[in-house]
Amino acid sequence: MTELTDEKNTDQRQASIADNPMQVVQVGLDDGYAYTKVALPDGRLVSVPSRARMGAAGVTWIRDVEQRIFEYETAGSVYSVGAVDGEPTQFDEYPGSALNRVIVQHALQEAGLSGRSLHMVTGLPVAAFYRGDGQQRNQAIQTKRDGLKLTVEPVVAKKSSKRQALKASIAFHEVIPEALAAWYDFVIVTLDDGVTLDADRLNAPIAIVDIGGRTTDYVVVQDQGVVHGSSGSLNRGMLDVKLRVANLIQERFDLHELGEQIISRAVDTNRLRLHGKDHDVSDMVMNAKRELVERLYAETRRKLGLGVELDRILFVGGGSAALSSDIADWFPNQTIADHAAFANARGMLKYLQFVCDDS
Amino acid sequence: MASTTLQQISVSLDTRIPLEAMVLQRLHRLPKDRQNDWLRQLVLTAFQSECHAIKSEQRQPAFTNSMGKSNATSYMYSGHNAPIPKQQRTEAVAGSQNFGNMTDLPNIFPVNKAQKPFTHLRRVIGEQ
Repeated sequence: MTELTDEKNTDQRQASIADNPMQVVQVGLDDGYAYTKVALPDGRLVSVPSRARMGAAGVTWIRDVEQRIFEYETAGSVYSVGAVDGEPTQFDEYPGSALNRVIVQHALQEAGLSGRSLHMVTGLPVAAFYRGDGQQRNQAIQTKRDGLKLTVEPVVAKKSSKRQALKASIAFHEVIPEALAAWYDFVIVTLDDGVTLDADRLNAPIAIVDIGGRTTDYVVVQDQGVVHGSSGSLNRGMLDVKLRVANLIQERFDLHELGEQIISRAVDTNRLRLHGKDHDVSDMVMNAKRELVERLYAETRRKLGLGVELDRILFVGGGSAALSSDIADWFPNQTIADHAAFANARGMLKYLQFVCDDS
Repeated sequence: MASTTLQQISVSLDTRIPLEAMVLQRLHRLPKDRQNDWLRQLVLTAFQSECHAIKSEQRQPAFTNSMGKSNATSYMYSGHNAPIPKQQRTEAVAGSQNFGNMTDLPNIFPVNKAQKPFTHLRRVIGEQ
């Protein structure tokens, strides 16, 4: 479940964004079910867990720098985001929900975009973006597009005179299929002195496998078109590992309930701390990962066969990084993208910078 | 947001004017709790559009120049691996700085607002 996360330093963050606060900032944002990833034009990549719950935190922070739970208000309700036991994000309406909205706003705040006006591209899972016949699900896309434009106010601004937390306002928002975003990242190459298309990658038949939190997306692109018969989403991802480990822990230790953060930590570290004692849960994590990998392998073979007609199979998403050793030998012509967790966010940013019309 | 930073404005729309009537009709179709956000978005979009129009007029000579260059660069995008210099991509906006003393409008537009180089790749998604 470990994803790459940039070290955050507020002063450096603020300095690297254009000084003119009136200038629109372009953002690629992959608001996944497990992590929300942000790509910025200055090359910075920021990730926050997609973790929030309804209600105020009920915590008074003595020092601002220690604050780990942040409150946001949207549509008349207050949400706590950050180091909280988050509500499950694995529901179909999550992309247009208030829960999603406050997590996205928190990610933007963490990226140093407080008070800025943004143009942004985000994504939907392939199966949520396209119907089986390849037609776009316009209503779902519009719901997502509108959802993130609704106002979310950082509550901290009301309570403290020291912190200046202004909302990041989204003036333009486009939605594209998640795994296809990674294709744009793959074919659009930014150089020190400009940008170019990689002609070899552009026309080659390529499959993108995006192992995410809730879903694993497949997209095959050939001759600059999506092959819908081989594309789609499987409702399996890294959050299934967490769910399975939670069940195994409850069973072994006879527990009725365990916090979501403790489970996450157990999956990340293979250790569970109960009653002040550490317990090794590596066998549970390994079993849960193996179950997921077997399911993903079967679906990948079903979608892509042996991949003989594909030039390349590109693995992206946080799950590809976390399962890299388990998926290493699936295809002879496979690659795991650099900083795989951010491939979609980078592609969304490139789509915004070089492809879509945001005038 | 502190209440002092929120300012309310009042606008009268005339139902006898078709466009204004359409705005009202659209507004009333929305759920009550979304109406304010929708109106706010409408105002911001309109303002952006106005700024864009004014800036376009002011940088007309530079913009014309950049359009000429974009024809040349479109050849490079179509499969040849020649990089597009950033200088060209930003020229339309950079050119407007020559007219900087003619405007006090904030530059609210992205630097590479000029012609996007790979718009044809929207077709991959299924966009026209």
